[in-house]
Amino acid sequence: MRTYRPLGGVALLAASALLITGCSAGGSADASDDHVQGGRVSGDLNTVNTADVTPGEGEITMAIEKTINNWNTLSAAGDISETVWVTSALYPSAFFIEPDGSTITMNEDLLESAEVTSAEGEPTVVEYRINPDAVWSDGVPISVDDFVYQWQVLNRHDCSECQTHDSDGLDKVVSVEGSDGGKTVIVTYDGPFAEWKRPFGRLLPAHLGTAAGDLFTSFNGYFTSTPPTFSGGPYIITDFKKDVSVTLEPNPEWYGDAPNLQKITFVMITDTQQTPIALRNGEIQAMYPQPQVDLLTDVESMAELGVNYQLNQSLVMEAIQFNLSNSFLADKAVRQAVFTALDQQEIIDKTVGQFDESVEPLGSVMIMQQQEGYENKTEEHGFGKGDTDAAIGILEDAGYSIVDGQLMLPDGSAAPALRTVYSVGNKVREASLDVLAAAVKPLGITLNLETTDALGDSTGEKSPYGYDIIIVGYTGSPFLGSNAFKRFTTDTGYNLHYSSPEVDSLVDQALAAPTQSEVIDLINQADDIVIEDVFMMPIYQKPSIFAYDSKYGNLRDNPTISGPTYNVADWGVIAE
Amino acid sequence: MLRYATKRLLIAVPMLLMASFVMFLMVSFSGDPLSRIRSQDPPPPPEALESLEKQLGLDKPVLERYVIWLFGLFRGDFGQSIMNIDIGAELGNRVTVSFRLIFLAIIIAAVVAVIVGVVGALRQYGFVDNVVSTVVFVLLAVPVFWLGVLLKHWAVSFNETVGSTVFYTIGDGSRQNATGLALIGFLVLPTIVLTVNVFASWSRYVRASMVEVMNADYMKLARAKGLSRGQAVWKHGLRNALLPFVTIVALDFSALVGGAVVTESVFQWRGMGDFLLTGIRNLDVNVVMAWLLIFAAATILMNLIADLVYGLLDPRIRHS
Repeated sequence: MRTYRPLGGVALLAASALLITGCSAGGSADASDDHVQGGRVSGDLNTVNTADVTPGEGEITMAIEKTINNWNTLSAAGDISETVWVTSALYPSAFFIEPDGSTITMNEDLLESAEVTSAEGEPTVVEYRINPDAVWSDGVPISVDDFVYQWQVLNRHDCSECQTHDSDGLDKVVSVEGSDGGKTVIVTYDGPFAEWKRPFGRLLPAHLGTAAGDLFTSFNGYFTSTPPTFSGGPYIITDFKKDVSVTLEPNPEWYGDAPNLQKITFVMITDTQQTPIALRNGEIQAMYPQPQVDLLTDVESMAELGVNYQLNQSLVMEAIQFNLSNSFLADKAVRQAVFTALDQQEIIDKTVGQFDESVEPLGSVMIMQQQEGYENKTEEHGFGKGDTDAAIGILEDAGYSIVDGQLMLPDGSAAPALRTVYSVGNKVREASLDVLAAAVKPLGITLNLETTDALGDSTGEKSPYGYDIIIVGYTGSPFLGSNAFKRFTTDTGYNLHYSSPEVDSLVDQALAAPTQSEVIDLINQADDIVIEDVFMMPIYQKPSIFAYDSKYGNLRDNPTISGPTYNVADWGVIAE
Repeated sequence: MLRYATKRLLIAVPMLLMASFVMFLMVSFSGDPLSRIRSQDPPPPPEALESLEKQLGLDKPVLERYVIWLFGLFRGDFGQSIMNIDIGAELGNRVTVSFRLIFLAIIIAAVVAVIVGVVGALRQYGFVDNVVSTVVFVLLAVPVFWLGVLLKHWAVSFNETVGSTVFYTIGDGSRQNATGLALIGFLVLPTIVLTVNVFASWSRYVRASMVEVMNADYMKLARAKGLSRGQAVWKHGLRNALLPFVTIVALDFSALVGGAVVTESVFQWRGMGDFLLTGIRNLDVNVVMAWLLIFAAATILMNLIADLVYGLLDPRIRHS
């Protein structure tokens, strides 16, 4: 990191001189003399950039792209990635997700153990043993009360008006009981539940909630609007400048190993184009933006200044989804032909492939490429290779014909044009759909591209013709069963136009499966059916980029919901 | 004069009402404020969304929401923000940040424009005038956003060369607890950007006005009476040349506000410009309305001040 001394005295003069003369003030060779050469860093996702750091020393400033107006990350409006990153150092979680997107690790500072005590096939019972020393920053022990509070606000029946982001599986819990002075928590589910590690993330202090009022008032009011003065994690907020910055310093009541850095400041830079300039100027030392061509070029050019970056696959996939209620698209042959004509690689080449050559076509809609159990299923079905002749063959076998460049239905009428929807202003998605439109043109199918400013509304459109084809981004998760349940089972979440009793059954079995290997096997079977049904076509996983000054160790790209600050207590200045 | 000012203020009230109504409808009909939340992955439960809609009043018809908002104003309530922003509290901080930038730019731009304009007029078509005119025309063509980014890159190069942070590219300094010279390091670049935005056009007004005044009969009379050129310019020329300029400064206030919105975005100042962009980005109608009220009122006030100053500078208007 370049540590600049304030030297404002010549500011006005210098700025005027720069403006008038119109010349750059020179190169930067000298500035990097005392720096390690930076550049791309790669390795095992869970251990990359591991380093011995100097304990109890150093500061870092990291840019975040959003301001924080809602501190309740369990709420629908507050579940913003940037807020999660900042507050993960304050709100303790029972488990966190490692960067590989598959490994789920127990928070050993908070918990001594977390074990399933029920027999296989019985309703799942989990026993959590909380660290006896675990306390909130005001000295109140972290206890069963905090587990009960989270269960009540998220389970959808104790506080139906709580504006929650999700139930996190707590709607399946029938009781949360405590013993040993509240340090042992027994959680009982209504049936077998394989993904019991999912709940009890981002715990909030129940005693402060109770002091603020009832569940509704505390959840939608106090925890939402009040910048937290409490902490159950390694850091605590010592300064909050609204819309500008949040500063964290070590929590004096922290019960785990002392964090390394003495100050972490999150600076809110809402215009992403300004972030690399701030990094170059030494005003920030880390950033975790949405990758773009220009941004990556900027970061690469900072290698000589000692800036490192990790460029990985995120867990967010881009996918094309059909509206199966459309009578034309209800014919599986049409859908097969469209996905057979589509060239995934061409979309990649014209979008994210321009700055990340490692992006490969995605072949699964339920398991991401870096996750354990990933299999490419689209290839097996011949989708995504841009095979126009095969696509025409599928249509002709099904009784369609192409007359003067127009697809004719088996009854002799012309095939309708398809409303193809993407988010307004999203050039990447527009480019993707341009490729799709060009791919299906030889089939005699016309796509009319339309935009939406409410993708959620459009995807959830129940009427048969709300959209015909839509391009969306879905986030993967290590909780494969829950993810598949919300996305692909009958009458849930997004898929109001898709229903498969086989998929429903397989996902239900996965949710109750006793081992992860069984979960993977069942989800892969369900995945295969969804691909075979030609409901959704995965295209690629978006890249993620984490850039930081090379003097810091243990900073790691974590593209899961845990975020890059999942190990913030380990961050530190690399020891000499 | 007082009657005139009162009349102008009374006319402003229905203007503000009409503008607020149109703006309210425009923002309300431009999209679903909860679209970001609805498109979350996974989507929140329907009960949560219904509760949120109810809390924000989005379950009511637009006209009813407008009436509620309007009557709320009389109680000092700017309405509920979708982004959970305390609008009233935010306004105080942000108005200070923006107006500090705008008024600093006005003062610097006006002073420099007068100097450059007068020099250009007195040296009409001379070497200095030609050079200054060329620079001014270039500056007139420079977009604020581009200039901001360009200056930031230059500033970073400068910092790297001297090995110290002289210029800062993010924030307004006061929120970073910067004082003294460091604070200047935060202020310099945004102020230059916004100043350049208006200085160039103002200097042309001053020059044109001064050229016209210099050819006026009373200037020739002043010289004939024995005043030096400088004395004639100072005592008779400048005051007359500045009359139309005062009006331009006031009328350009809204243009400056537009420039400030861009400048604040580039330099990440949390002023009214950022407030507006946040409001529009999130379709937060009450935030946009609060911004509109503040700047519509400020624009009307600036125009009124221009009229009053015009009267002060020109006795003919004052006595009419």
